[in-house]
Amino acid sequence: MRVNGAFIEVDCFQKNKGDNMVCGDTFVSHKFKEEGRVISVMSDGLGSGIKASVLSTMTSTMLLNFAMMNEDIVAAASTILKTLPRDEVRKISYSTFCMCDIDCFGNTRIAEYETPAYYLFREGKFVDVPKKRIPVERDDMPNTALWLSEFPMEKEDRLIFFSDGVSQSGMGRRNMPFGWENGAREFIRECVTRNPSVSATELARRIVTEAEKNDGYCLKDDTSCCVIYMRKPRNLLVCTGPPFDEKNDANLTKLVMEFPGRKIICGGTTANIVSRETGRKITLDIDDMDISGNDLPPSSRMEGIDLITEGILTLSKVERILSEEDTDNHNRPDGPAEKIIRMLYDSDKITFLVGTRINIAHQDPTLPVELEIRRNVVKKIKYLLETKWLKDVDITYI
Amino acid sequence: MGKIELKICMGTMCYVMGGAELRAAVDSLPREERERINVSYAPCLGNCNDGGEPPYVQVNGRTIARVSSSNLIQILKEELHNAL
Ligand code: FES
Repeated sequence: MRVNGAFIEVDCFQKNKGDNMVCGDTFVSHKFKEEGRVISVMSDGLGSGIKASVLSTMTSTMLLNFAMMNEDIVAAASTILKTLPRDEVRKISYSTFCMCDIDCFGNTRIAEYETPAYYLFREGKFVDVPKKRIPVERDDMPNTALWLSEFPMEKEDRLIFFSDGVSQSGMGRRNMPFGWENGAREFIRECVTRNPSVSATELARRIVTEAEKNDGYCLKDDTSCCVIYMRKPRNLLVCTGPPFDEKNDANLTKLVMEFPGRKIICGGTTANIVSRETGRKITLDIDDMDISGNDLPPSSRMEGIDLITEGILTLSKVERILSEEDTDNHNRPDGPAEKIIRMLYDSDKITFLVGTRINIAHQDPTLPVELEIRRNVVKKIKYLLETKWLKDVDITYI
Repeated sequence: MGKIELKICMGTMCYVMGGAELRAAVDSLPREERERINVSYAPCLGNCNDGGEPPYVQVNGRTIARVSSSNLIQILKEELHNAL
């Protein structure tokens, strides 16, 4: 999602308490492509385990649904807050939440209810945003209120939300008797100073991993961290297939070479065209073939191109990996399809440049494997990238 | 003793039609023979458009269609013999 030329990267990383099977915190986010708006909600269910998970899932998805129906976030949050069940023993509500709505101009509204205060990190410093207290009437819980912040996000800003699993990690230890709240600030500052372009994904992962370390590698609570990062978009071009008309070979090469971002070519013929037009040599990385479990032709290299792979078999495998439940499994052998997956993951805006010349031989029913039609595979990949990883994807046919 | 240039096509058509196994076939040659073969790979040798007879290889620049592991070994042995 882009705002004034910047891209809003949203990601969340979670780990469960102890060896629990489910997480009692829930994070949901939705981007409205047409409006350029992003809504993200994090909710922490009381306690842990299934009950907490059900409560936080209900809270967060209902909030998101309200907001998606164009309900103002304060109205949405107040409605939920009025109806949240209360724990009779502890006299507190069954879940807490934090909801963030960013519009296409970067105008940001955040409604918080009992979650640890979020951080806004701007130009190396934490910014204190004034918050407005909005009372919500509840007879059984006096003094119930939301905290609302409103401010414009600027380029390179980061918003960091977390559940109390992060802020209370390490609590009771001699070096952090009251938990990690201040330590976390220092930790974030250090991470960003050391790597100013650290992605939302990576920062969230590091924060949760550090919290786990504070708890001696056995978390005392479900631990989630969500980071929203307003940054320069990382562009990726995936060029696959020769152009319909050979006269466009030069044009295709120009589009590839002048693309402002990283470049992948999928397909031998396509790679040959670019090699011929630029006079640059292609070298195959035959070591790729030695990777166990790799069932694809090896990748190759050419000056100016970040990765070259075979076409349809590799793209079909990329599609297969993306449609798997556990796409983020980092333990796969590092073959050509996995390399593409990693590059897709690390990009915000992905452009597929699809050549439409068809090799009829690919459709021969006597082939030992079924070769899919390039266009269809690319369309499926686009859908998966948009829905699974919230990427901004375009397809151009040539 | 002359060396032999072998180029194996790694394009889609050749790969699925058996090209994937050719590398192992070459590696199975006795060491003194294997050492006399320079193996390189191509992303696509350009013969597969709309059919052809994949898999393709090039031996000393000569394109050979419909190669199997066994006939590749035979061709290489002949070429090695000729180059002696
Ligand atoms: S795939 Fe081998 S010649 Fe094209």
